[in-house]
Amino acid sequence: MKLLFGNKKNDLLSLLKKQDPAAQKIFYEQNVKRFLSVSKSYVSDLYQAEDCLIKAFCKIFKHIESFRGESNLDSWARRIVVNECLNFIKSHKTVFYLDEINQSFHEDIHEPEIDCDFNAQDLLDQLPDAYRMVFNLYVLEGYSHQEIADTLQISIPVSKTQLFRAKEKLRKIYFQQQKKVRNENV
Amino acid sequence: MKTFKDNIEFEIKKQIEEREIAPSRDLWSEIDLQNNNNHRSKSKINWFLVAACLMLTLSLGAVLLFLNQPSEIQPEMVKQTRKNTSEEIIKNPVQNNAPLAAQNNDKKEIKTTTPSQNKEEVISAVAIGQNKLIPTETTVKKPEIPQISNPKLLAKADSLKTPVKKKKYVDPSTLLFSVEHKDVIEKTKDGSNVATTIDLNAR
Repeated sequence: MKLLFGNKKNDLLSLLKKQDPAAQKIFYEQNVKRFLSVSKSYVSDLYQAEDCLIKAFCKIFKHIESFRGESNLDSWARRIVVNECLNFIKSHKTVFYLDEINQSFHEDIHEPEIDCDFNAQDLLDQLPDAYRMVFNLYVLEGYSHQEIADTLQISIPVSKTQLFRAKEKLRKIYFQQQKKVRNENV
Repeated sequence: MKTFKDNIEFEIKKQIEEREIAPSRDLWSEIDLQNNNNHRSKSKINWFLVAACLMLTLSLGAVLLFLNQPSEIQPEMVKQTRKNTSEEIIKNPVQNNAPLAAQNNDKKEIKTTTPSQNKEEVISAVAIGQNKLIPTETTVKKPEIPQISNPKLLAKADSLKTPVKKKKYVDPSTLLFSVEHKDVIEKTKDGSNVATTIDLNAR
């Protein structure tokens, strides 16, 4: 079946719109690992991330007819995965958004370049949910603060504040990890 | 010059996008199961809709039938009641052998009651139309009951009259006597015409 489809995504899309089970299976196999990575970046627990992914795939197959083809199918499906993860966090956890802070804190602080040997998932897992959601939407998904505010139903200044605090938190976590590594080496 | 934050953000994005995580369980079976359940629920809803539509049409049809049936029965009931009353009334005059003078009173009563009969004709046009009876004075004027062409006509007229307690009638011979001896009677009773009732009824 894979050979039949090849790279012809339009054929796959037309078959998905016909609710063809074989096409659905192929689409699943093509994207499950990548989408699980995305889901895991929002939801720390792997089992919960998989639950979110199951719901997301079901929604994708159910609402595939509403996909107009204006954007890429993968990015459309990824957006559904992200929304499902956000809904899961909102429904299962209490998210606290801190008040906005002064503009002066938003200024970037110049730091020396870092080593790339850290684990991104470890850093993200240590972020609070509110920080992680805003950070992921801004950095990974490329959302603007307006889009983040609309998606999370918060104000734009709050979105900016969450992003700033998330970055600060990541920096602290990173340097703490570096200190631990140095002490272990010593 | 790239800042630390830019570096760490860039590095996180790079790692997450390049990363692939294999699922720890069989996700496809669960997705397939949920998809099938969705399809089944859709088909169930369709069947329920079809069944509901059928029930609605059947119930509406039944209601319409029940509504139509009483409208056909009602005129028959009116006919029956009318026939019964007319039959009863017809029997009564024959059995009582009412004198001819009583019919004079009936005549008046019929005259007064005809408008009400007309009203009844308007209300139950179908029932009376089937009887084909129109109350007229000419038919009632006939003194002999058996000679009436349709006995139901007399029955109608009698059904509307009030019961007469005492039927008075004038014998032609007494009437002739009273006219001949009018002066004598007026002298004895100061003009009151009582003699007819006293003398002639006793005879």
